[in-house]
Amino acid sequence: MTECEFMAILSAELNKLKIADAADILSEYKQHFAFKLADGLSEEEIAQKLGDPLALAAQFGAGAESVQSEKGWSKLKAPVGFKIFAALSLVVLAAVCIVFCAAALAFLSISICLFGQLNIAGLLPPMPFYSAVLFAAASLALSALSGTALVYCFALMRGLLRYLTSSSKASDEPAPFSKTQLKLRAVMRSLLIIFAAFLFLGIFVSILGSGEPEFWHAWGWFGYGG
Amino acid sequence: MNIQYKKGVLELCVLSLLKKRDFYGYEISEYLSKHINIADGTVYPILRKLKSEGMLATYIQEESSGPPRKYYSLTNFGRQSFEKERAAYLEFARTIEALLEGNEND
Repeated sequence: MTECEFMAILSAELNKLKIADAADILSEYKQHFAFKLADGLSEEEIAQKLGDPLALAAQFGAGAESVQSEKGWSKLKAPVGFKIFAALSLVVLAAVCIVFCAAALAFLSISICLFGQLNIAGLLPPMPFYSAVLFAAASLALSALSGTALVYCFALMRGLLRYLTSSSKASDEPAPFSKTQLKLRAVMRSLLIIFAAFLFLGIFVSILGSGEPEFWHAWGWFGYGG
Repeated sequence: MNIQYKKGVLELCVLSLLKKRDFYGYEISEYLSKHINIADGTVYPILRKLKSEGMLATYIQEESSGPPRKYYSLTNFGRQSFEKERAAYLEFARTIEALLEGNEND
């Protein structure tokens, strides 16, 4: 039996038994052929070792029967409702992306102004350079955090888009979190910690520097006229 | 040996392999057929059944060479069930072995 013959019999039998995700199953066997062919085996040998395609198809039927009936039920309800929900989430995510983008740019410019002592239009309150550096670092961390969150949101949107555009048959389950997403989350956690650390350090140093717990009074912020 | 007989145990073998790390389908098939005399194709229905029971999860990983591969990983539920099933099976196997060797104490 050649690869084509094997796949044709398996495919026909899977369809006859009305087994869901037949394409998914077929692709596993196709890869099996590819790996074995690369090892130098002939199609005949591979097919013979795989076993009888009719018997294999029957095993897919026997194993997943209970699950299939469950899936049939959820297929009636889930895709329609869930896809509307997913589409709405996409709109919300797009808005959140814009917010994160704006936040990243805003915090970045604040941090540049603080570092460079650029007091444009007197917007920044007066403070000694050492406090400015610490607050600038906190702001930079916040900017990076917003940037990472933006990338994360993009990844979520891409996943949702893929879910929405794929045929409902193949993707009843939501896509699992990819390794990149997990990594992004770890980065966001560390950035948040860095932000908090610099913010508290900045406040602490400012209190020490000004000699007053409410250092903003000493430096005349918010129109207190120190 | 009877295939139905082997299949239940094969599930345990697959779970035990995936406890070590994630594997893709072909690797699992190679591992099983190296140790146990079964048709190569048998492993794929088993993987699918375990996945539908919530014991395994899958994810796609791009490869630098060749098409993306579907990896299987053990879920928390799978890990817990495996530990229970493993203990139950070993206990059962010891009993059967004793019975078949004919050295049970009446």
